[in-house]
Amino acid sequence: MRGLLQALVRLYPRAWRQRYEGEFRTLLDSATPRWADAFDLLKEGSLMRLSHLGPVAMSLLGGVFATILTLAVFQLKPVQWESEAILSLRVPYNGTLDSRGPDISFLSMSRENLWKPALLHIVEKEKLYPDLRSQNAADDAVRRLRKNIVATPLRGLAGGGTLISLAFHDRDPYVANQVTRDLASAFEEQTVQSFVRLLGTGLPPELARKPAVRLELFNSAKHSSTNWAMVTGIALAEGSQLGLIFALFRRRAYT
Amino acid sequence: MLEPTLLVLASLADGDKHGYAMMQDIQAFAGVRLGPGTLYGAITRLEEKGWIRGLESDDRRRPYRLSAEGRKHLREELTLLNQVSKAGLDRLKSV
Repeated sequence: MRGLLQALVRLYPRAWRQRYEGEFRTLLDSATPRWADAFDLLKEGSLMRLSHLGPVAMSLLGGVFATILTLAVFQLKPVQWESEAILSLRVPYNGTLDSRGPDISFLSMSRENLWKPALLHIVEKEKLYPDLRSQNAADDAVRRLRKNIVATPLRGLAGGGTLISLAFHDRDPYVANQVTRDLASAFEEQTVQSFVRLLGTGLPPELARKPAVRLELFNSAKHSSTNWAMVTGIALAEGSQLGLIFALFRRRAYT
Repeated sequence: MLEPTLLVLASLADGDKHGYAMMQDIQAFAGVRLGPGTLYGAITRLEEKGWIRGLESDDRRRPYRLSAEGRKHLREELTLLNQVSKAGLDRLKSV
């Protein structure tokens, strides 16, 4: 134990040791050694060493520390699953309605256009957000669901029409899949209804039979990815800045 | 709960002492055992402020002495502590 305490004296910076090492080692030889003393030396020696680091070393240390801390926090974050449906939105009529196709696509692309009753139905069916449902806060539940939907137009299809990605995130992959499936159905139904509304009453019979939206690919559940390079870069930069500021404005305990 | 620097100043109030003597003295009058790292951390800060100074010594145990400024600071701190202690005890009695 005494040997360990003597070894820990090396933690202290050189400038400090030049002044205090002799008497400090004598004290360690005189006092009854304890495990608590080892932790005491570890803490005080590290703090003293930190107070003697130069701005560059302090900046580097800050960066490394912030990066490790950030990555650890991100590792502890609950895993999120993403389910995605790719929808093909195509106007199935070649007559005068072709010119209305883009309008209908535009209407359908936005998550804001998912109607409240349809979303509320999904919230209740999949038992989402129990905290809000128990408070009868239907509007808040719909708002939260809407916030978690990602609807992105991907690209135009040859011959008219659009590909749309519809995604939903949840901690449970099964829930993510189910909600995405429900959303895709609601999306499809609403697009047809929007189509009917736009056209008025003169809907040709073939349009009434064919949906304007068709599911091309469905439910590829995956772990939602974190941009590790960006997270690490930001943590490194911010930590380095903080380390530098600390090094420039600190008061040294002993120089 | 007391600051190690205050304990070191109080220990030196009745005369010069080296590190080990301070450690034993503080344990005797305050019931607190300062670890060697904490004790020398406090000594380092106090010497830097000029409130104590190390004396020359023939052996490896360097004694420390309270400076006039350190004595003044100790008196102010203890007076304040005394006020707080008196007020707190009075209030406890009145309940």
